Order: sequence, then structure tokens, then C-alpha cells
Amino acid sequence: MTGKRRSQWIAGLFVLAVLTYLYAPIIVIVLFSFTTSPRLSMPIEGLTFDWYRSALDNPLILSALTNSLVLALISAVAAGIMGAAFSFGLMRLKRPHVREALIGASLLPAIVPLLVIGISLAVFFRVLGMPQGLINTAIGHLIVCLPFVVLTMNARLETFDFSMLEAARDLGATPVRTFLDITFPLIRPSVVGAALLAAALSLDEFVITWFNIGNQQSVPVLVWGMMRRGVDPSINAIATLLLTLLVGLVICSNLLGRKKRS
Amino acid sequence: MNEMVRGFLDARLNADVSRRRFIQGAAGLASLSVLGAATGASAAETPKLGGQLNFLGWDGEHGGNVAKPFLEKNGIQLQASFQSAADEALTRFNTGGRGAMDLLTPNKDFQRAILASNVELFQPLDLARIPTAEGLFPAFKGAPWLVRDGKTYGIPIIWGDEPCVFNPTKWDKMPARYTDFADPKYKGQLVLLDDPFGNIWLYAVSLGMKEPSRLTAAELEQVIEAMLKMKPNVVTIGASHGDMADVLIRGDASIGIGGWAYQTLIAKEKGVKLVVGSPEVDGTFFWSDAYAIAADAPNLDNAYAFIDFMTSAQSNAALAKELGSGCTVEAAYDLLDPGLRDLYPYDNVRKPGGGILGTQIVVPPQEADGDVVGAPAWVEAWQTFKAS
Amino acid sequence: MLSLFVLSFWRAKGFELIPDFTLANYEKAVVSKLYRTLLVRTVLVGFVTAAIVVPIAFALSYAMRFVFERRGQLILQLVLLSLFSGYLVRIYAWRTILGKQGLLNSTLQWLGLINEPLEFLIYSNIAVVITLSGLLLPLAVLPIYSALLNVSRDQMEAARDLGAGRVHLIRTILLPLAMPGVRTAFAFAFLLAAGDFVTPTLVGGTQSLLIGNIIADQFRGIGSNWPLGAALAFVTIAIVLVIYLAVVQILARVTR
Repeated sequence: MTGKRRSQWIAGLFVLAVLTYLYAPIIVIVLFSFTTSPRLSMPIEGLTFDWYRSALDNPLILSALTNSLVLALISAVAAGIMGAAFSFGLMRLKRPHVREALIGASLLPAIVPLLVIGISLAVFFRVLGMPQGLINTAIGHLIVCLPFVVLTMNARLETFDFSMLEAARDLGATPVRTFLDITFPLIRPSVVGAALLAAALSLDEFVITWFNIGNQQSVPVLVWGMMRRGVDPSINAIATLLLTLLVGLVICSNLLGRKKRS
Repeated sequence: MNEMVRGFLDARLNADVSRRRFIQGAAGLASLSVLGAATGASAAETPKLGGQLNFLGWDGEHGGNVAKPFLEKNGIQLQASFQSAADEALTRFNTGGRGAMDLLTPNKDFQRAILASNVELFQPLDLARIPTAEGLFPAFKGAPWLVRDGKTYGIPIIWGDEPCVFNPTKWDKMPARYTDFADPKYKGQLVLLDDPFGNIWLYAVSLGMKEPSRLTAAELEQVIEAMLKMKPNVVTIGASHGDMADVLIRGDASIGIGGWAYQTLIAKEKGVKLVVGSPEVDGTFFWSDAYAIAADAPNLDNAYAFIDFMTSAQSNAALAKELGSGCTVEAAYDLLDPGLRDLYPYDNVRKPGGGILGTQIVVPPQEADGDVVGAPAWVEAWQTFKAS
Repeated sequence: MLSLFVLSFWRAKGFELIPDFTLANYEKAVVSKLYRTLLVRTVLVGFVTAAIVVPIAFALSYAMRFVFERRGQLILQLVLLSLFSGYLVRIYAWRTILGKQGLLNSTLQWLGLINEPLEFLIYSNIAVVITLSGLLLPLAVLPIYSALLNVSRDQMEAARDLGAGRVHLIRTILLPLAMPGVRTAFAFAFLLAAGDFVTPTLVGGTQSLLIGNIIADQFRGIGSNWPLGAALAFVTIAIVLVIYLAVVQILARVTR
């Protein structure tokens, strides 16, 4: 038992170290969104809500925030569903070579420079006569997010034990029931994780967005444009707001999930 | 597939001239039908204001605070998006933005290049609809970079130069020449701006080249060699003026080459003192941004009214103050704080013809011209500098 | 995409593009010393980043799956949530941490561990790798953890009961089953690091320019050259893909 204790300790420390590494910049962001030192550097002088006020006062920032959230939501839901469905479809393919090739092909949008995708899409939409805006941008985001969802799902499904599903079907369960009662609960962490990933990628995307969103704004596009005059801590305030919102969402979904289970 | 290729062609071949040239070259793709004919400005007799106004330009020049009362009074909704490079307006125009873009804020050299190459992007302005433009400094009225065939395509908003911006606690003054920055005492102190033209131009001047915007391949190589001697002293290359200011304010570097006086204002707000000063012998170069209206702009009335409002003495002075730059309207000068007046040599803009702004060309020709290399060669030379 | 491929055979002249069939752009992309240096550097940065990210992600996923079990999902959510603070803003925050007068340097100085600030921490390739690894780690954790969900505790216990050592256990049971996840994690880390151009711009120094920056340059600004940019992009894609496939082959052979 002591051996197990010790390995738990080591694992705990390791996890803590990694989380510190991941959260160090975030702590900086949150901290400096509340301080009066506008320099984004030490020492911290005083506390203030001014950056939130100036962020929320700016109509551009507000519309950018709304647009970004809409895009992230569309990306999470659409990429989550489409990606998962595509991966399932892949698993059903009998010929491994075709499958490998399709997985490789779905990787492509992840390697092609975003700039190339962004410009190609913009030109493509123009030829179709679709005016620049959120719809075009959402399609662009979907293209960027899908490979990540597909590959993540693929990692889960490639060594997934499909015999379980056949057993359920042999017992007379309809495909829908099988999916809802057995498959989905099993793959839920991966699907939710992949959807979160898609939302995060969408929130950060600015190259494709820039070329396709027309006269609208999204948070990263705005931040990138504002860099000519320098960044100020109101950007930290926006990031903190976004983060808080998402943490809230995740906590809520956890609580809901727990209630359902019990 | 062909549609896509054509789309791409159009993206870069918008000018009538080049379109003609292209059609001669490739008969197979002869019918380029994507573009509609440019509709002329049908000036309504009593312009109706209100609705949308789209802006794509530099951050700040949409006049955030300055334009607010005007926009509210007339019920205009300003949709502003910002560019991070001068030609992003052209890229967006050609990739589906045409017909959805109104106001642009090109800088001097970009607008000059566009007008000279006959690429379609701006529409000629009806000066009768911008009465306040009468108040511009003589240099900005019909300035050479704004005019083609007697038609005016832009109303200058602000102007300035690109001096060195430095930390006065570390340095008393800048050296006499840019080539002096190769001195090892500047190690770990310099930050540059990611701009091929400004940097190469300054070093060409520093090396005593007669026409710094028209370099031969050998001269260009000489310039890069001189710049590479200074490179060990460079900490990083800033993506934008704001980014460069951030590096200086954090104290990660103490001298910015090719800076902007506005950076001293950002620094002041953050409790750091920075000052401007350029190498005495070499000096620096000047820039100016102008309001322009995109071809096929959908909200013409709003655009004209906006430009007219922003070119009034009060607006112009307020914007110059907000952006730490030079004002372009004569009466606005009197409204500026003395500190701001001293930032720029205003005697230059009192001369007709653009003064030094008119004669000084920082950007090389678009294509090679005899021995003189074109802009792509400068970009490549700059990349070589950045990479080595 | 296809149209850009076609474009890569054209020529640029002024603000115009001339249709053509020329291999000059490709020749330039492959022969020019400038682009070759940058390609090598890009591949190296991508590789080093992946070599840091993937093992950490594997160890983390292992701990989440087999040490913390149920609580592992909470840790996964924490890891993924770190993605939601904005990529640009996070890169800037790294500047605050790694800068000459940044948090890390001032802490080390305060502790008396160093006298002078460590200058290599910022505006260097080290800064680029540190920042990129932080950005990409969450993306690499998800696929590995997902793959480990397919390995049941019973399988592990059974193998251990048969007297398998820990290393042997990982090599023969865990890795083969986790392979799809590791492969994906490597793909995310390597490909995204090799394609990034914002991180080297903001925290990189004068030796940190990557091919992505040059490609971006060719598409914007006066003097840009779209055909050359497109050719460079396709050369990069080809090289990166070949390396990725080679690594996958090697990984597959090692675990077989």
C-alpha cells in the first residue's frame, strides 16, 4: 500500500507541475486584468475594475465578443457532431487502406497554412456570390476544427471494443438505443473534449476569420488590429470574462451530469 | 475549377489595364464576368444619412471617441475593422469585400502605388461634398500621392515621421547615422519594426545612396550587408508599432528604430518615459494616412459626411491628439497643445505640393525598372536579413 | 486549395498575377539558401516542441487514467479549459513571465539564484518552444487520454499478475493500445508548431523566424508574391507530411 501511496504522490506532484505550467500565463492574465499597473509587468500597484469598464464600454469589443461566442458555439456543436459521425463512419469501413487514406485526407486542413485556407475560401465564396460575414466564417472555422475532432475521436475509436455493441444488438436493442445507452456514455468524455477543443480553436482563429468575416469583428481579429496602437489590459479583461464564462459552463454541465447519474 | 482560377485571377487582376493584358495573353479564359462595371457616384441632391458605414483601416482612424457625437446624431452605425498591413484593404476588396466596403485609410506610399499601377480600389472623390477639405494645409491639397488625372482620391487625416524612440535614462541622444547602430555598445538594446521598406530605405540613406527608393541589386546587397552588422544588437523585430512600444515599455529593449511619436504617449500612460530623436545626419522619413472611399461603396452619403466631419478643425485636432500625430488641417494646428505642435516640422506641410512628403518616396517601384530592382526584391532582402 | 496549387505555377508582376506554367517558384523554394535554412529551422522547432509535448502529455494522461481514475476527468477538463484564454493574449502573458524584468527573472533574482537577468529566456528559440509547448500541450493530452480509455485496468492487472515489469507493461500493453492517440498527439504538436507564425513573431528573437512567417509575408504587403507564397506553402506541406509519416512508421515499428 505504501508503494501505491508514493506513486500517487509523485503523480500528484507531476500533475500539479504541468497544471502550473499551463496556468501560469492565465494567472498572469487574470491578475493583470484587475491591477492598476498598465504595463503588464511587476510590481503590482493597486486593484481596479477600470479595464473591465473600458472593455465593456467599447461597442467594438462587445460585438466582437458576441460574434466570437456565436462562432465558438457553432464550431463546438457542428464540429462535434460531424466529426464524431465521420469517425464512426470511418470505423465501419472494412478496408483499412481506404480508412487510413481518409484519415490522412482529413488531416490536410490542419497542415495547410491557415492563410492559404483563408484566402482560398474567401475567393471561393466570392465565386459562389456569398457575401462575407459570419456564415462564411463559421464554415471556415468548421474546416479548421474538424480534423482535430476527427483525429481525437479516431484515437478513441480505433482501439474501441465494438463487440460490445454487437452484443447489445444481439440482445435486441435498436441501433438508436444502443447508441444512446452504451456507445455515447462510453465516448462522452472524448466527444465533449473534442467539442471543447473545437470551441477553443474557433475562439483563437483569426487568419481565416479576417478574410471571411467582412465588416464584422471577432475578438482575435480585433486584438490583432489593435496591436498597431498597443495592447492594454482591457484585453486581459476580455480574456478573463471569456474564461469565467466557460468555466461556469463546464461546472454547470458537470453538476447536471452528476444529477442525471444519481 | 476554372471558376476558382478565374476568381484568383480577378483577385489580382482588377485593373482594366491588366485585365486587358491578361485577356490578350490567355484567350481561353477570356470572359471575366465576375466584376460588375464600376457604378459612378450618383450624388443625391439631399444626402440621406443613417444606417451603416463600413470602415477598414488603421485602428484609431475610425475616430472612436471623436466621431461618436456625429454618428449618434445621424443614426449611423460604424462597423470598424482594422488592418495590420497597408494592402489588406486591397486583399479584402478583391476576395469578396467589393461592394461591402466604404471607408479606407491608405497610407501615402500604398495609395501612390495603387494609383500609379491603375489597380482599382479607390473611387475619385467629389470634393464639393467635403467642404471642410478646403481647410487642409497647402501641402495636402492635391498632393501628388492622392491625385491621378486631375482627380483626388484621398483626404489626409494625420501625418508624421518614423523617428527613433528611446529610453532617456539609458541614452542622451541617438548616433549621427543609422550605420552607427552596429556599435557593440547597442547590444541587446535595439528593436526594429517588421517593415521591409522603411528599414532598407533608412539604411540606403545612411550609406549615402542618391535615390534610396531606386536601388540596384548590388546596392540592395550593400544595404543588407550594412544592416546585418547591426543585427547582433537587435533584440527582436516588432510586429507593429504597438508591439514595438510594448517591448520598449517592458524594458526589454531601449531603442526603437523606425518608431512613432505615438509610442511615447502609450509609454507615458503606462508610467514610462520615452523620447523621440533621430540620427542627426540621416534623419528619417515621413508618412501620411488619408481617408479614401472604396470603389462601389454602398454607403456613399454616410462616407462623405463622415469624412467631412472628421476633416473639421476640431475633429482633426482631437484625432491628432489622440494618435500623437501631426494634424492635416491648418486651423487645427491652433487647437493643439504646444507639446504636440513641436513634435513635427510643420513648415513642411505649409508648402504646396506636399513638401517633403511629396518628394520623398520610400517604397520602391512595383516591378524592376532596368537596373533598379522592384518591391519583391526588397521583401526578399528583408527576409534574408530577418532569417540570418 | 486547388486554385492556389495552380497559382503556384504562375508569376507575379506588380499588383498583378500572370498565368503561366513555371517551376521557378518551386525552384526558388527548394534551391534558395534562405528558404532552406528556414525550412530546417521550422522542422527542428516542430520536432523539439513535439518531443517535449508528447511525453508530458502521455505521462499526464497515464496519471489521469490509472492513478486518479475518476478524478482524471476533472483534470482533463482543467487542462482543456486552459485553452480558453485566447492564444494571442496568452502569448503576451508569456512575455510578462519570461521578459528581462519578467516574473521568472525577478523571482530568481529575488531568491538570489541569479544576479543578472537570464536574457535567453525571451526573444529566443527557447521562448518560442516554451510558449508553443504550453499552447499545444492540452491538444496533445486529449487524444492520448482518449486512447488510454480503451485500456482497462483489468488488462493492466492481468499483465502485472503474470509478472510483467512496469516498463515491459507499458511497451507491450499500453503503447500499442495508446498508439492511435500518441500518433494524433504527435500530429497536433508537430504540425501546429511547424505552421505557427505568431509565436515566433511575438516571443521569438532575431533567429526565430520560421517558414510560416515568410509564407505570410508573401501574401500581404506591397511587394508580396502570391505564387511564391503558394509554392513555399506546398513545399512545406510536402516536407512536413513526409516527416510526419516517417515518424509514424518508426513509432509503429517500435511498438510492434
